[in-house]
Order: sequence, then structure tokens, then C-alpha cells
Amino acid sequence: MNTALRFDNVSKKYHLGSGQTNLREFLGRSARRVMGRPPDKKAAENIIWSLRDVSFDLPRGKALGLIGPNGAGKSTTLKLLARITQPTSGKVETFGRVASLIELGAGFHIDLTGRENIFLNATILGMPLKKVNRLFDEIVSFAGLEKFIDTPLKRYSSGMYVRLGFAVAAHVEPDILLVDEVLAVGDSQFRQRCIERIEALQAMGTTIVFVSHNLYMVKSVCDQGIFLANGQIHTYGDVVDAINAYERWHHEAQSMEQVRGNSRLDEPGTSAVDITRVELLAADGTSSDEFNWSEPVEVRVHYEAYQPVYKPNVVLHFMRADGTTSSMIRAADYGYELEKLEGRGVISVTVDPLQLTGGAYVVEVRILGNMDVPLCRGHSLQFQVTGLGLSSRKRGGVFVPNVSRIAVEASHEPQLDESHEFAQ
Amino acid sequence: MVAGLRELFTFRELLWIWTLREVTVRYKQSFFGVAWAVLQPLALMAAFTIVATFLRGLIETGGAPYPIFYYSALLPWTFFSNSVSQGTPSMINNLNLVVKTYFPREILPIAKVGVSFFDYLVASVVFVIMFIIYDVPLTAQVLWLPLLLALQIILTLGISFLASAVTVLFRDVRFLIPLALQIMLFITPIIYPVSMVHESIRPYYLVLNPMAVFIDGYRQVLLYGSPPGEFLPVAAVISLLTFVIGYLVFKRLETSFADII
Repeated sequence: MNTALRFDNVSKKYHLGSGQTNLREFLGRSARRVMGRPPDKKAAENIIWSLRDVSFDLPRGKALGLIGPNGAGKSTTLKLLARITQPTSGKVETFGRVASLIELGAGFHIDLTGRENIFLNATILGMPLKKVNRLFDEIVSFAGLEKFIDTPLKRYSSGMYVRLGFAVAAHVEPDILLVDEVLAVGDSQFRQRCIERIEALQAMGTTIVFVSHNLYMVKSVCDQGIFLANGQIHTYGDVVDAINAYERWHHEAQSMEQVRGNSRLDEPGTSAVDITRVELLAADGTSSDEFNWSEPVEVRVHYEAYQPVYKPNVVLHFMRADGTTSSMIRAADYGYELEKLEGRGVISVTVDPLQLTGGAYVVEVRILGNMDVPLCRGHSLQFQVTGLGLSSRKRGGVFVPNVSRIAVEASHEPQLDESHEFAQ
Repeated sequence: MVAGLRELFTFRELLWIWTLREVTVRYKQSFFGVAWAVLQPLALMAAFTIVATFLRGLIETGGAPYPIFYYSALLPWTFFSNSVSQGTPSMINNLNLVVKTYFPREILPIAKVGVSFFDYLVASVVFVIMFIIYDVPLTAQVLWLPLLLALQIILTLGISFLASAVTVLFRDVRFLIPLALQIMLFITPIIYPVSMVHESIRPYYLVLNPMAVFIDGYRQVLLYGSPPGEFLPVAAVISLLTFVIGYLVFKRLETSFADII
């Protein structure tokens, strides 16, 4: 077995809010259940999926960097590896002894001396007492705390505290070492020593999982990288690839924000046409927000034109929940020329089959005029795609075995239909 | 359950160090230090002796002097009550550890039982001195003591597991436990002997409360030189069941501790 750790379709759900319950709430909930009433709406809304169907393997001796924006699921991944928390579904496997530097000195007690705390913290991290005795002097000198070792921790400065914490953890010599953003503290000299120590451990064959927002540090410590976004793996591979993907994503997210922020169309009454509503219809004509990847989807765009709009173009922008583009459908590209939008009406775009890999998506609908000038505010709608999982092996957002048939249709009131049907 | 206990065994050094830590921290912070361990049962003993004297022979001790009659019950009772009342909030009081590190969580309530056991040993020294002062003859029946103590610890652990795990889910339990312990003090033969409980309810009294059997057992064995009462097997079964249920519930809830706290 050459695998150090494995995530198998791991999902982790958190309930937002205080998390604490008191007996009154519990009894209230139980009573609702007994009476057959649906549970509180509030409770259902407060659920957040920190990780969704994450699968990956890490070979022994590798150093893996976990990167991504805040809330992407990096810390949850570490906590699952450290067994601090359990997955809601799926399986987390670790092979060998795991030591976590999720928080330095988490087991310290301020009333005890440095000496007592070394013993306490080292045993929490799973070091045998014999070994603590043997390595005691080494730990103290690594932390540079020889003079203060019999002083209670409450008299330590925060720097001394962190140094002691790292010194203990770095000497545990685990099979798998988890490091979470802890090296951001301490002075640069100590930080350098920490990195050297991590590299030494790696040379000894320790598998390392490293979480940091400092991409430079990730690049210097790690050889593998996972870019997490919205609880899913965006990119897994060489650390450089993962970092590049993250940076690109970050850049796109920022520029998208800018486009939205600058648009004067955001102000009501300034546009020639407004999208009043967008619905997604399944093959049987019912409105839904969950579709199988192999089924057709009809996007119905309800509009209201305040003045006649000639030769508009309709654009559907499919994005994964993290903002990466999966596909962009422009009606004009498929030969559809809409003559005129007038009054209220509906433009229908059918994508058959949908052919997006499983996961959460957003479709943003825009109506463009001459020279692709946006005529109105974009309208976004969220939906889910099922049936084709996004595993670590299939990284992209689009699955392209064949080309989807695109059909666009427009109608307005009164019935002056201009229907087209065109197969690609 | 077996897997859980095996893992606990691999963390035995942590349990030992953690218990030492709890003992050190407790006595480092207080001026009288170890004396507190003795003071608690001693003060209650004095109070009960005074009350019993006021009641003028109403309490039938079977010839034993009041102080030793009370101390023999208060010593194990204090051990039990301290373990449970300190073990109950052990999980939520070590929030930082539970959220940030991994180890078998049962170490926290077990260590509290360990600390109370340390107090118990310290307070036992006074008991030995009292035996010498009052010149109470000891018989071979004292060999029952280790069994009584072991069963009491098993029961204590079971209740501590249950109480500490459920406290994470419902903080209200923290307030419920001291009240329950206070009530238990009165429905356990501490202030009075079992013989004063009306015969018609005595079987229920002893079946429902294993602590009553143990406390009475200590007195029988130490003061009267006779074996523990006939209800000891029942109390033993209930204690073991409490331990198994408590441990299973604890292990079941353990996985969600870090998310809830």
C-alpha cells in the first residue's frame, strides 16, 4: 500500500447558527416530528455544504498544498484528516499516524510550566512518553526556551507560546503531518526554521498536507496541489498547475465583479428591455431546478420591452457554482436571428441534451443588442445537474461526447410568432 | 465498543498525563491544596454528626459512633458525586482541545474520575486514622472493598459518559446534574442506615439505586464485619449496564462533538 490518505466521495454538511440546542428547541422539534408537521424552515436554510463529493488519493511521502478562497473547504478537509470531525457521507482513510498543527499548542494549559506542557502536548499528539523524555532537551532548544522552561505559560509571550507549540509538534515525527496556516505567526527567522524542519520531515518520508493562503510558501513546500472552490476540487495535480488555476480563477472572479459593478444598466428604468423572469423546464414541460446531464433543458426567458428592440441576441452563460464558465450559448452563433422584441414575451432556448457534469450551476441570461451591447441587466438562476459526477479524474466543467442540439424560439403578446427550429 | 477500548488503551499515556495535569492544576491554584480533598467529607461528617446528635438517637447506627458512621458513607459518596459533577462539563470546558485536536474524548470524563479518585485516596488517610482512634476491629470482610470500589467506579464512569456527552447537545443538563446529585444524597443511605428504610419499599430502594447498595456495603464490611447486602449482584449488573450504555452513547455522539461545540 503506497497511499497515505484517501478521500472517497466525501461530503460534509454544517448547520449554521449557534449550533447549540437547548431542551426547549429539541422538544419543539420532536413535537413537530411526532405531529407529522414539517421541520422549521429556518433549520433547512441554515445548512451549508462545506465539502461535496470530494475524492482524491495522496501517495506516501508527498507534500500536498490545499489552496482556495475562504470557505472553500480547506480547513474542513484538514479536520476530517485529523479525525476531529467526521464526514456526513463518504469515507476518509489515513494510513499511519497523523499529527496535526491545526492550532499550535491547542492542548496547552497556561497554569502549567513549559516543561509540563511539553509532556501534555506531546502525548496529545500521540508521542510515547519514552520518546518525550528522550527528545525533551531537543524540543526545548528548538523552541529556544531553555531559560523559561519552568515558568508557567501564562507568563509567556505569544511568540514563545507558538515556538513551544511548533517545537513539540515538529518532533512528533508522524507519518502524516497536517499544517494549517500556523506558520504565519512567529518571526521570519523562526518561520525559516519551521520550513526547514518540515522539509527534513519530508525527506524522512513524512506525508504533508499544508494549508496556506501564501501561495509562494505552498509552492516552496509542496509538490502536489489541490485547488478547492465551493467545497469541490477544481484542480488536482502538480502544485504549479493548481496554483495557476487558482490565480486564473481569482482573476476571473474579480473581473466579473468589476463588470457587474460598473454596469449602468443596474439602475432600473435605464434599459430598453428587462428580463422579468427566467424558468428552467424539464423535458416534460415542468419547472425544475435539478436536471440529469443527459436530458434536455428549456430555458424560458420572460422579457418586457419598453420600446421595440430589433435583432437582439440572447446569451446563456453556464457557470459552475465557483464562477468558472462551463459553456456559453449565443443564439446568433447557431443561426438564430430574432427579428424584434416588443411588449411582453418569451424567448425559449432548448439545450438538448444538457451535457454538463454533475454539480451546482448558475445560468446567467443576457439580452444583447447591436455590437453585443448589453440591453439589460443579466438575470441569474441556480440549478443542479445530476448523473455525471465530477470526480478527481474528470476535472473540466464540460463533458463533450457529442454536440447538443440548440433550439431558440420567441413569442410575444399579441401572438406574432416568429418560430424557428434549427438542428445543429 | 472493543475497538473504542483498544484505541483508549493506545492513548493510556495521555490519560495518565491528563489526569496528572488535572490534579496539578487543581492543587496549584488553591492555597490549602490537598487539604480540600479531606475537608469536603470531613465538614459534611461534622454537620451530619451534629444533626444526628440533635435528633437524639433517632438515627440507629448499630453501635457505631456517628463520625465514623458518616465518614464511611461520605467518603465513597464524595468520590461519586465529585466525579459526576466535574465530569459532566468536562467536554464543553475543554472546547479548545475537542475542536482542534483528536484523541479519544472519553479521556476527559475518565480523567475527572481519576482526579476524584486521587482525592478519595487522600481522604482515606483520615479514615484510617479514625479507625485507629475509635479502635474499630477489622474482619476478613474488608476483602470485599476492592470489588465494591471497582463496581462503584464502573457505575461512575457510565454516568459520567452519559452526562458529559448529553451536555454537549443540551447545555441544560449541566444544571440538572447537581440537582439530581442533591436529591440522590437523600435517597441513598448516607444520613440514615438502610435498616431505617421501610421494609415494604426497601427492595425497590436498593434495586433502583446501585449507590445505595455500595454505600451500605461499605458500612457492612467496615463497621459491622458482615458481607455486603444480598442486592450486590443486582447493583453490579445495573452498574455494568450503565457503563456499556453510557460508553456506547458517548461514542455515538462523539463524532459530532467538534461540530456542535
